[in-house]
This record gives sequence, C-alpha cells and structure tokens, in this order.
Amino acid sequence: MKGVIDCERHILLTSLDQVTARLDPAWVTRMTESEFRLPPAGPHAGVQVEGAPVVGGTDPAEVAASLDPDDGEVVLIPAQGIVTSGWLNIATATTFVRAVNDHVVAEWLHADPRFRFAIVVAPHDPGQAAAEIRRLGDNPAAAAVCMPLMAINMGQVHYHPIYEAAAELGLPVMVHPGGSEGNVVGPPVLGGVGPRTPEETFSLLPQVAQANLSSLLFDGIFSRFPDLQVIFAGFGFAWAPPVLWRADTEWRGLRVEVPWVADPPSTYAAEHVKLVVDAAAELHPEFSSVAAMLPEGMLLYGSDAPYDDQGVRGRLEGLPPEVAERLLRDNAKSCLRLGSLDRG
Amino acid sequence: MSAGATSTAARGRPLVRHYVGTVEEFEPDRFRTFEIEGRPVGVVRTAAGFFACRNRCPHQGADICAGAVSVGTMVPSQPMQYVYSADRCIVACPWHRWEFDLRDGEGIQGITKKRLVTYAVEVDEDGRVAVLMRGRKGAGS
Repeated sequence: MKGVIDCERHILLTSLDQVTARLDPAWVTRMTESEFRLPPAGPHAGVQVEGAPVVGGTDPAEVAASLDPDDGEVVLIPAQGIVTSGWLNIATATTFVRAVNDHVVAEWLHADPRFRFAIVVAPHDPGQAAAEIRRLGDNPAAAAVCMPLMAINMGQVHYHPIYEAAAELGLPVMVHPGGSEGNVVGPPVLGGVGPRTPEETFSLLPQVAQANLSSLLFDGIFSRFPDLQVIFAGFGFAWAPPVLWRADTEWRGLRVEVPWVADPPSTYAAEHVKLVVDAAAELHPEFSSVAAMLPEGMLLYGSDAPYDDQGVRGRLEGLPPEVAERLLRDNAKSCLRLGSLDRG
Repeated sequence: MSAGATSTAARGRPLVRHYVGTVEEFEPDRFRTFEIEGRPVGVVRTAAGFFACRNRCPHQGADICAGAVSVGTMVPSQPMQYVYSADRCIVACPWHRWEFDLRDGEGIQGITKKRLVTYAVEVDEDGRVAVLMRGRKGAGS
C-alpha cells in the first residue's frame, strides 16, 4: 500500500555524549560528574527487561534505508526522551528532553524527507513544556508533541499550558507510557497493589489510558481546547470501546453532573482522540471486530520499531482496502501536522 | 386508581377525556398514578400547569412517575461551571436519572431518541382534571 504513515517509530540515543553535545557547560558537568546515566533502550525504555538488546533505531541512514520507497511520513519519537515522568529532578528532566529534541532535529531530519518528529516534553512543569513546544513548534518537520504522563489525569488543569501550546501550533499531543507506571511516585499508578513484573506492567498499561481518556472527556478538555487532538500511543486500542460505552451510558443519566459535556462523550472521542495500533499483542484474531466497535477514524498505525515490529503492518494491510487505507494512512493525515517541509 | 371517562369526537380514533380528580387532590410536583384503559398513566401538577405521561420510562420500563419533578435542569456550559435553566418541566427517572421534558416527552440534551409518551390534560371550570387519550384501536368510535 502506498503512502503508509508510521505514527510511532522510536529512535535511540547510544551515548550520553549525544545529549551533552547540546548542553551548556554547567549541565555537562552535572550530567557527567553525577550518577546521571543515559536511560536504557529496552522496551519500553523505562522498564528493565532482561533479554536480547534492542537492535536498530540508532542510525538515521539505516532507518531511512529500511523504509519502502512508497512509504509516507514517519514520526520519529526518541524513546529515551519519554521516560522522564519518574524523575524527581524537574530541571534535569526539562533540560534532558530539550537536548534530545535538538539531537533529533540536528542528526535525524536530514536523512530522509519523510522523517518527521514528535517534540518530546517532560510533563512535570507544564510551563516549561509549553515553552519547549513553542521553541520548536515552528519547525515544519514537527508533527506532534509526545510526553509520558504524571499521576495527574489528563483532564486536570496541570496540563492546560501544554494543550494550549500544542493546539495553537496545530500539533496533536501524543501520550506514551514512560516505563515507570506503577513503579515510583510521579507516573500514573496501576490497579491493585502494583505489578511485579514487566509482563504484568505491560498487561495493565491500558488502565492508564482508560483513566485518562475518561478524564479528558468528562473534564471537558475538548470544549476548552476545541482544536486539540490527543493520541494514545503504546497503550493499544482494545481497551477503548468499553470505556466509551460506559461513558455514554453514564452520561445519559448523570449528565447534570457534567453539563459541559453537551453531547455523548464518544462523540468528543471520535472527533479529538486517536489510538495507535502498535503492538502485536493487540492483534487478536478478532481484531477487526473490536476495531469496528470504535467510532470510525480513531485508529492510527505505528510500527513501534525497533521494539515491536512483529507483523502489525502486514496484518493491517490485510484488512479490507478501505479500512486499511484509513488506518494506515488517512486517519493520520487528519491528526498529525504533516505540512510541507519548505519554510515560508 | 381508576378514572371515569367521557368521549369526544376526534380524527381517527376518538379522543377520550378521563377524569382523574380535582385540582386540590394533586400535591405540587408529585405524580398521582392511574390505570386508564389498561395503560399506566401519571398526572402531575406543577407551577407550569398539569402534565400527564405514561408511567413507563422509555429506557428500561421503570415507573418513571416515581421520579423527581423539577422546573429545570443543567444546560451546556463552560467546563467546571453550572448553569441551571428553569424554563422547562422535567421528570427524572428514579432508576438511571434519564431526564425527559414533560411538555413533549423528549429526552433532555439528546440523551435518547426515544420519547416518553405524554398526554394532554384539561382542567375544567369546576376544577376537574382530565387526561385526554385516544381510545384503543377497535374500542368504538
């Protein structure tokens, strides 16, 4: 299929030098003479998993060469730039992501005209995050904003400056697991007493997305920011239909509690929310049936390379052509900022 | 409670006037329920006048007339603000709090396309309250 848009392709830094090369001497000193280490590259970057090292995603020319000539845009997301939600030093997190963004712009974008990037931001200080979005938002290759979440639901006022900056620049806000969900203070908690293994963590990650989608809808974020688009990446999609069903059902009876939600919540989701199909784990034999339970147009394709490129694209290309074209290409065009790279 | 009836000529099936009591017998904003021609019907006296409806919520069939009656509800607003509009007459189902406008049976704010069945009510000069219902099919003309 022509023009497939990969909404979530991770790239990796291999050395702390790639970060410190973009920093002033004070921060070079802080990062090299302290116990600071470049976050590991494992899937997802914040979760330690024993096993084979991740291969790929480190060389711009190699990644460019791996693309099919007919492919469309590829959104590069530096995996180590979205692990900061568990960090306690806000200044370090903010400075680190700024350097990572500068590395991506300087070292990756020239390798292929289809390369786009997500501006990664640390969610701790929304003012600083908004400033970073505005600092790089004029770059025509910026297609989205990407961040991990805090233990603050997305409907809360904490994130408003980020939404405001992103919406102002026509950039969707993509949220992605940061790897420390349920493990430390700061990132969102997971149910029960918390998972003990990476497998359990990955299995329960949809809880975070469910809680945050509900929060976005019932806190009226899309009434407050009518131009905002939100993308859930790395959380799968099969968790969403039951949340939307319940949200609509509860809204019918308890509408007076949230009168700013003037229409059934699922109608806001259909207009403002996208979910990235990025994991082989979600490709159950009944995939199509589950996907059909969502409002049309909500699903995007992400390779999740180099982590999870296990035939997801092939499975999606096997869907009926009109469904595959929407999922692999057209839905992304309606959400990502994919303008011409020519300035002016 | 049953109701006495007189018949009035109308298009199609006859419109039947069913007397259900006098004005004084109705407490404000509290439904009284009746069985009229085998149908469960509730009648309520409000500040905006008398209303009648079928005592079945279109959602799951609850006795909706056991629900709260109010003159208004929350209307669409900016996030985290509440705006109450007191220009309606609303019943809220006791089961799931679905709200319907007693004037026309419509679900409030598009919560459902199903309508609550409503009936016209007349109060004559003697203070007698009547529900106007079309007779059942084949029930004379």
